Amino acid sequence: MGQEQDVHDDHPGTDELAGRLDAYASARLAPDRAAVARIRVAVVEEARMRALESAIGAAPHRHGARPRRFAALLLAAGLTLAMAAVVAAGSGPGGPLYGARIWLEAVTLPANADDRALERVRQIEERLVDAERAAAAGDPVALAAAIEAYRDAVGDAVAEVGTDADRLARLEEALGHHVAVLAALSARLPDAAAQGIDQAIEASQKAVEKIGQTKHEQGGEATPKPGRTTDPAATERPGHTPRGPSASP
Amino acid sequence: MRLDDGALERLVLEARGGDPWAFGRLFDEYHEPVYRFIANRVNRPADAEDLTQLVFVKALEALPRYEVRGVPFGGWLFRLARNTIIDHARTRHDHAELDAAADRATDDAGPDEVTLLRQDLDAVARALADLTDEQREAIELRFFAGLSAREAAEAMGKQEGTVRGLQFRAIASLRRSLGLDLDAEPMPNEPAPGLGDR
Repeated sequence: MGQEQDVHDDHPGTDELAGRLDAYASARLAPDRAAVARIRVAVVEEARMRALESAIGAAPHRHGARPRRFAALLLAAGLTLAMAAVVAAGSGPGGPLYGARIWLEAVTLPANADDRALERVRQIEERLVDAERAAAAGDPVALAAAIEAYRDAVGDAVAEVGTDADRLARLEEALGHHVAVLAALSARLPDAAAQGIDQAIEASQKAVEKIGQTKHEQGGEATPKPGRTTDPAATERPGHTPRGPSASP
Repeated sequence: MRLDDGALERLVLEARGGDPWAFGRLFDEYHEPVYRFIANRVNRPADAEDLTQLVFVKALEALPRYEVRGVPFGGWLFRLARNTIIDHARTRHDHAELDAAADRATDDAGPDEVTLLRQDLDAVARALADLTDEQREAIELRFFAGLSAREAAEAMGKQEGTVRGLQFRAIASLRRSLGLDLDAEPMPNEPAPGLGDR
């Protein structure tokens, strides 16, 4: 800290420069949330596929039976990948396996409460991306399925979030953003399709109200848990903006 | 970053072990700084999105070879990001993209810019464009991506002191360009000790 103070003494205006660089990065270099959701879905799906391939390839070899074993593994890998492709094709909203995919996501949630709550928020956002994709594709069946799944995911998340201030704040922030996204989506769709989205907006707003009520009953604002962060300043910036060097002495 | 070192190490180990959820958490932690770093180098948001995705897929491929006790994860990841940008520019034969900050269009300004004064942002873009490539990269890694000097040095393949020196000179240049240096002259080629260390 002392060294940093020396720098500020030698270079008055460093804080202002850091502020201007941060403003520049926030305004012109920040990803939009839809893009982030798209990238995340693709990356995590890739990780899941690799884990699956790795699990198949990790089967032990037995001396003497290697060629036959290798052929069997290849066949199993091929069948599994083919099945995965079929599952991927059918597990989109409105597809026959969409419900199975959501069920699978629900049963593989982490046990740790914080991690689980975070993953719940991610799942809601994935459902929102499903809805956006279905709307863009002009597929009303897929849109209805995605919106229904979204509402269910919101209900599950609210039921499970508990009274922890961090978790409540995170969910509230996400749902607030979703309302804006859904409202924009509703505005550009025909009335029949927009009806389902309006119900999803209502569900999100009710959830936000419920969170607000819970926070009120707890008697205060969100207080970050000790140990969750090494930098208190990092929680002060909206949208988890990365900390720039020497932003403050 | 929000995660402490222990939690980060645990996630990296779990992701190396093939846990997609752990890799998703690493993505949550690093996607924004990686995107910022890339977005300052390419002209189109669509390219920034594609390259950010590519960086994380490459990380997924390379993670089994990453040594947790060796280089910091952030430095390792940003080295991948840096190489991805270089490959992208080489493939497209579009070296002008590396100077994208100079030409960044202001027509696509978002609503935030209304309150942040577009002129100020344009001035910062011009000031960044006046830096040398290495100085600009040091600023991108330290300020936009929020890396420590050690992580930035790892990403750039340079010594930590060299990165501090680049950063120091870049700060001096930016302050001059932005009119923040009216009362003080920058010190000669001295690194900035402790500046921004976490």
